[in-house]
Amino acid sequence: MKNFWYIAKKDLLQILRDRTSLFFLLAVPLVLIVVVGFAFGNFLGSGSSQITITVAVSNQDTGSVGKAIVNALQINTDKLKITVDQYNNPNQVTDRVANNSNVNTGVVIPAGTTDKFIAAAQTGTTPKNLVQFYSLPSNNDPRATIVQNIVSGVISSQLAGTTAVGQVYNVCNQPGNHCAQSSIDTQAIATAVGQASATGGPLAVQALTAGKAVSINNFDQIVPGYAVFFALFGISAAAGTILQEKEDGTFRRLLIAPVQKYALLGGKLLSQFVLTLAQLTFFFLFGYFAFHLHIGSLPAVIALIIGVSFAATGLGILLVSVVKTRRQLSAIVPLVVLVSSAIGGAWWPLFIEPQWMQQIAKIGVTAWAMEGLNGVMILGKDFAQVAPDILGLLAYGLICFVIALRLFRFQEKTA
Amino acid sequence: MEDSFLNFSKTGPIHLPKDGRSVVVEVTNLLKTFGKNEAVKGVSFTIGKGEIFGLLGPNGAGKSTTINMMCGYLEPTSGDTSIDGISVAKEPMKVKHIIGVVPQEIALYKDLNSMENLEFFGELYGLSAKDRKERAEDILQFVGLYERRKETVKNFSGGMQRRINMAIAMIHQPDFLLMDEPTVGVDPQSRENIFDTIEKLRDRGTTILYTTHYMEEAERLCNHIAIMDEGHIIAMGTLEQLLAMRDQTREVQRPHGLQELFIQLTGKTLRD
Repeated sequence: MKNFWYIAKKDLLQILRDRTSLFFLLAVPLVLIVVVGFAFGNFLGSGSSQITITVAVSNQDTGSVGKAIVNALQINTDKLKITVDQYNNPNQVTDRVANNSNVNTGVVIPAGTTDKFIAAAQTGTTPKNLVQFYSLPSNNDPRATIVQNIVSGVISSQLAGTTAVGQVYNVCNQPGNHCAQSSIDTQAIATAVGQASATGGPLAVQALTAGKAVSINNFDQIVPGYAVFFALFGISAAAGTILQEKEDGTFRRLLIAPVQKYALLGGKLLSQFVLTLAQLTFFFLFGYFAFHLHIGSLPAVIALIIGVSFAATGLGILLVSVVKTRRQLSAIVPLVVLVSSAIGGAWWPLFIEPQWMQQIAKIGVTAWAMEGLNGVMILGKDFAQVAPDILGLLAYGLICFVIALRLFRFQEKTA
Repeated sequence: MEDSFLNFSKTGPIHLPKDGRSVVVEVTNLLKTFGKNEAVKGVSFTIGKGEIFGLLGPNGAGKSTTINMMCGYLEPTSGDTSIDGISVAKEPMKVKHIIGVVPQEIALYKDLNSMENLEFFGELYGLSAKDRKERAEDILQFVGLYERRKETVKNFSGGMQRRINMAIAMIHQPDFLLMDEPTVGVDPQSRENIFDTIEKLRDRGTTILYTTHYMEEAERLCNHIAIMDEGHIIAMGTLEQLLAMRDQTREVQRPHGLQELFIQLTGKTLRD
């Protein structure tokens, strides 16, 4: 068993001697993490949980409906801030939506909208296509949905008001009822009922909290994502040292020495495991101190880092068991790492991907790693909740190692 | 001359006579095939204690494959090697502790220094930290590289690397040393140092199997010599016996030594 450690120690010593490679092993990912972290600063909110929206509005209506919509949109709370940019010309609204990336949606309230509401109430019909709502085609931005829901809510409450006015007219027109026409202020009734329905609902709902607050820092995604990404790229180093030893003849020399085959591969695995573990720990510590990374459950993150290191190393040994040369390896590693990272959530949160893609992604190490790390660091899960991901990573590494042990060519099949 | 000592037959194994030598290594009918290619076709020989046994042959003769099977690196298709009475096939780990192999290629960790290279292999052979250090220093003195023990091996000349390559095989003080062309590509000074080292090892009682393409090396070092070609041993005996055989089998009577016999036996056709 000691040979495990002797081989690992020798490999680590060789890595430490190559200071330039060691520098790039840590410096390149670090630079990328910082650059990407700041470049996508607003992707997940830059550490703030407040959603900010800018709406372009052209209110041509002089009645209560137009005012109610504009007032309803002007929200500024700790969770939601909507900035309303008002324009006289409706064309300016469409231009702003089409050409300005800061404007998320546009609303045009045509002239006479309030009057049309009242008229519809008196005739008992429902007005259609009065207020125009603009967003970019095929836009899945949830902020557009938020604005649309607010506008729809205001219109619903206004409709409730005008419907109430209609009912008043109906009652007054019944035989025997005596309502002087001038005594019915339709606008006042509609506004009162509309306001009651608009404000009464939220007041009737008590906002409570359950569980822990979720604070999303952009680096909570970027740091673990890129750390896992570069840890996987490190497998080419592990696999490369084995192929290098085969080319240099030292691998044969190790096989001639009294070293069991499993100890030889195990020693290689151990050195790469230690290196990957150190690399990941460095990135997480850097993220924690430089960008106030939200760690969540520390034991869970530590277990996940160990799991990722083990799985990545196992994958490296498996890859080297199926390739013959370093050239083949340098072709296959980027393919495996890029595909696994793209679908596995290294560059964006795994939970925003469709469910079927999340399942397919589980063929790679990244998905297991990011599901666990996103769970702990973003969604506030505890150790027990990410235990399946930790076990998944350990099983992944173990399966890779067992397969590698069967496939690995210790001797070349030539004279 | 004993007829059984020399044999030109390519059809079967050749056995050394019972000549009173204390046999340490016994190779019995070693055969190795790679697919349809028979690299070694049933080779047998014995090596006495403290002997330097030369295994000569052109490229592709099967020398390295024979060595690979003898040290347990390659599994023979059939046959076995016994070293100090221990079967390589049955107890490979036990055998690996008492043999050392100097590979044909320079197999070193070139970004480590020579002490680190030696101590690493010492660890694999189970030496204690104290023994590893002492033996590594002794061996480096032995091969004349003690003063440069802390220099990275990649900065060494080819000859110096060859000497470290050999030193590693000696770190655990093996009883039997297999040396596969240990002087390839070295300058005369380093070659002389390697010869001195081999002779000192022999004087200490180490048994050595030595392969080379340089006939003068075999003439200088080896007690017994076997010539291999196309997977067979085609001649075997002491230097004197082989030279005597040359004189008997050639019409032209010129004492040109082992080189002449070698060409006579293996031909002048180029081997790749």
